[in-house]
Amino acid sequence: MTGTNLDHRHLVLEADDLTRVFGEGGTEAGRVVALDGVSLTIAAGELAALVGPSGSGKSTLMHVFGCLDTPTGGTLKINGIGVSLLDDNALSAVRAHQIGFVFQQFFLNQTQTAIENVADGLLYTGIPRAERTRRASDALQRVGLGDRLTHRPSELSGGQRQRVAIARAVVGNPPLILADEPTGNLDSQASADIVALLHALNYEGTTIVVVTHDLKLAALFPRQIQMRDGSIVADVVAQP
Amino acid sequence: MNQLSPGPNHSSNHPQALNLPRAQLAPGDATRIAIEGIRARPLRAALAGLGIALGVTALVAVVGLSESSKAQINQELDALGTNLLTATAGNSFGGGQAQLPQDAVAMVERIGPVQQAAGVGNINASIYRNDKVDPIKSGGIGVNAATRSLKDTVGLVIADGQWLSAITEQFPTTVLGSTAADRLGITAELIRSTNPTQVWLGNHWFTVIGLLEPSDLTPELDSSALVSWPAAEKYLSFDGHPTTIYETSSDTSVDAVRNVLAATVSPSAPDEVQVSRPSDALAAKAATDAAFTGLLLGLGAIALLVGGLGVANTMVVSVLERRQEIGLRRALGATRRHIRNQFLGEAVTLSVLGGIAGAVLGILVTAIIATFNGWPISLPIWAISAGLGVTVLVGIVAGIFPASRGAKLPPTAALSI
Ligand SMILES: Nc1ncnc2c1ncn2[C@@H]1O[C@H](COP(=O)(O)OP(=O)(O)OP(=O)(O)O)[C@@H](O)[C@H]1O
Ligand SMILES: [Mg+2]
Repeated sequence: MTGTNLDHRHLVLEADDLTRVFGEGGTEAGRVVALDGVSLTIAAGELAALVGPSGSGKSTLMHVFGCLDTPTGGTLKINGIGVSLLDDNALSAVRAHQIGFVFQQFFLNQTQTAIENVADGLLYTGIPRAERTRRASDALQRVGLGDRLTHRPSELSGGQRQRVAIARAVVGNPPLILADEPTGNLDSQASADIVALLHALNYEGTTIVVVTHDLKLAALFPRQIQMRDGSIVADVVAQP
Repeated sequence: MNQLSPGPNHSSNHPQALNLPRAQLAPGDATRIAIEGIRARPLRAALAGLGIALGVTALVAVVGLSESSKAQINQELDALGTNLLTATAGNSFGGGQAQLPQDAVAMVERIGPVQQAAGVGNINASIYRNDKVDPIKSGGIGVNAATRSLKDTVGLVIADGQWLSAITEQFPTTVLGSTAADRLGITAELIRSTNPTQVWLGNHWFTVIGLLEPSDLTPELDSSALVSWPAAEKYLSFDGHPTTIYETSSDTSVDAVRNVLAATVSPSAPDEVQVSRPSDALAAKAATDAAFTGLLLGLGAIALLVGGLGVANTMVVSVLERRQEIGLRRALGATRRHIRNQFLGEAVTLSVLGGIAGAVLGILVTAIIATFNGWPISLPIWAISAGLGVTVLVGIVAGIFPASRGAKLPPTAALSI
């Protein structure tokens, strides 16, 4: 079911025949085709789940989408920018300005407060510090942690920590948010809260792609892109 | 958001990138990150900086102490003056002590710039506390005839009693240098008492009328008994030939006088005359410390090297431990250069903090030791700035390798645990 009624909208991600082969040039046995020709578009305002069994290539695809890894073949555009040929510095710029990341392990700085962690989402954008702090405060309000600005990660629950990490991803209002197993370290209640938060942020206009191996969780999102062995095997858009 | 607004051109040579805003980090933020990285691990930072601190302490203290002792010697020289020259009769061709002409002092006084001149003549005589002492027991004291002008020319200071005068020089009287007085067991109390103190000198009883303070410039006079010229001729059959001439002139004409002194003192055999400047020996003391200073500086440099290795080791461990942080920062938009500069900045900050601690310690050590020795405290600012400059260099050298390693980590590798 590719080709949806969202096609006329601005595309924040256009992937064409992406491949990623690990261990190329080594022995045939060490060669792993993690992505085997992935073509996909994500339009502005979408909330999509990328779902598939372990080892199907979800994280690899996420890293390629996030310009953390370069594909072996194919082309990729982020927010209209062809990133396939960019050098390392330019890829850093794309990450700084176009993409927000949420990780399973949160990756918060334990020595910093919530607001400092969130402000670091803008650290490499050239925005002055005072303005970064102001926007971080706004972002923490958006994720419902307006009363936890100066708490440190150790003083927050797992769900709250992931909220801080989500605030850090959205603080710059990037056109694309990539979340790899954002509920992987959380209990069911906290997971439900995070899913609800992602829906709320999407409702405000944020484009989000969530990676999960959990079909039940994926079913909670309007679009489900299913992967297997490095390829997309199904792309389902729930009719509203 | 202004993702596609035209930004300044950046290092990419790809046309698609020309309209991208760059990834950037303000210098203030970079500094803050480096300092926070160190503050998060204070004990490790302290241990890593310790070697650097000790190295800089050594460097600063060595320079400070050598400068302070030099300042002390210069102060002494200022007080003593550097305008005293001596002319001594060397050995004659036939061997044996050469003699200077009897009128040598008068000749020297006639040299234009000469302010004062005095003569000392060696006398072959022995001196004893009394006539029953075993001659061997009080050896080593030289008996010399001295002109009355010797005291002011050389700057001799009377510790007790009085100097040779026009009246006393007619009688068998002597003034003793400090070492000579010690050896003979003649104390200030004996001089001050109403009974005259006598010594057995060249088979005559001589009255000791004065004792001298030790003299820094003319230590040879400390161990001698000085007898007036007329008394020496009268009682000790002195031939009136001086063996050493002392003279002072204005500071600016010392060299000019030096050039003519030998010929003036002994026109017939100027080559046999040795001219020297006693203050040179004192000044040389400041210079002889140079070898020792070099050794200590070398030790300081080794401490710095070891300290640098400590910093490098700390940074290698730090980069390994903080892979996730590196990965996160790359995901947030940090470039390789940002990562490299962050760790390089930490290494330099670590090193410089150690350097500052070392400079403070070095200043303290200098101040304490100089005060203890009664030296003026002298620590040139260049020593401190050089010490700190070196730590910046050490930090860069120690940090560049681990920092580059951290920067080269692929973001995905840094993020996976
Ligand atoms: N750096 C790498 N070197 C070699 N092979 C790799 C590397 N990274 C991933 N792979 C391989 O690529 C394939 C896809 O891995 P990936 O991590 O993308 O799977 P995933 O769908 O995210 O799985 P999971 O749900 O377990 O996280 C796997 O077979 C994996 O072993
Ligand atoms: Mg994965």
